[in-house]
Amino acid sequence: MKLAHDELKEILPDYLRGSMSEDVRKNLRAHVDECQDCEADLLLLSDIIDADSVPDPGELFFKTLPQRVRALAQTERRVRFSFKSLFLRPVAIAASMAVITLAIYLFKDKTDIGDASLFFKDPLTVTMLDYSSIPENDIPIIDEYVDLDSSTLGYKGIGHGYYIDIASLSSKEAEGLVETLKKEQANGG
Amino acid sequence: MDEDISLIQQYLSGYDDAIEKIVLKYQRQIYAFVYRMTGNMEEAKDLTQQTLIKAVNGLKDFRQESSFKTWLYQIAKNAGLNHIKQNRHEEVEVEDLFIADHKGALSKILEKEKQAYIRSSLNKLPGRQRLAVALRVYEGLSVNETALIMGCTEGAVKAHYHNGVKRLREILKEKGYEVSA
Repeated sequence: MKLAHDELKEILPDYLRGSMSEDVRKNLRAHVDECQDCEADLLLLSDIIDADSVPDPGELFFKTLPQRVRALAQTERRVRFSFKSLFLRPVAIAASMAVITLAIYLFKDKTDIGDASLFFKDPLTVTMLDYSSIPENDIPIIDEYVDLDSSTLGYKGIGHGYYIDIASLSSKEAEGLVETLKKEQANGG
Repeated sequence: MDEDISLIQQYLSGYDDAIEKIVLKYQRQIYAFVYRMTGNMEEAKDLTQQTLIKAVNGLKDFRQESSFKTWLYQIAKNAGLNHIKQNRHEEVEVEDLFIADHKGALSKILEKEKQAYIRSSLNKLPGRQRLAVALRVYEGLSVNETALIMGCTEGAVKAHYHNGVKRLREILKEKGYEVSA
């Protein structure tokens, strides 16, 4: 098969290397003999090859390079395994995320002081007072919504102040107070 | 089975000696190739080692979509281009290489000068043209292999090569050099 001018020009390097079939070689040689453009290219490529000058780095370099490559490649492989495989594997990532999430949950729960009642559980609240043994008329009127912190509420009136004092009593104190009031009542107080 | 593939499989199976055989086979070619890219012997030695280490470490990911030789040249090409980019080599004018006072046959001196000028002119070519000419002419690679290494189509390789050779002829003609008869 006869090749066209452009196709022959492209394979001139292969001709110089001797890497083509005998038929193609003959074809190309015949073309170069007739084509000045391809002849000039062929001569230029010969000059380029002749001009090639790669300095010899010394036999020691080539003698030791295989062992060096082997040793350094293995070192790089070990170092990479230590970090990348540890931090980039999906299982490691998932486990790390689970631990971090758990830590956040536990830590948040313990340090949440938004509800002061966790630390300052009032041993006595209005609802805990037991009035079962006290006649209805004797039950002090206590507003469940009274704020026990007098510094914020203040004494809006004697009545409110009285309620705060009553609510802050322990159950024993409250019973004692009731007994006292009964006695005073009996005495006409 | 291809010798390279066989050696790679031996290495991946744990036979580390196989890697030394691969290095022995390709070290000179890779050294010559990166030297032609950088023009500096010490840099070429470093890049040769770098290329081979990178290839060994990447062997488990080598998918055999091209020959091992092509794949290795791709690594070498990238290493060379990265190095050139980082170091921005200054081109050496041929006048610096001319042996002015050498006593000997005039034709030899002129021949040496011409060869030095050809090397310098090659370095003046745009990167992809220089690479195409170097791979086709110096490395003796086919158009297909060159395309795989350069990461472009065969048509692009032909164009880069054709334009590179054309430009070289123009440069030499400007200087008054005619190709050898």
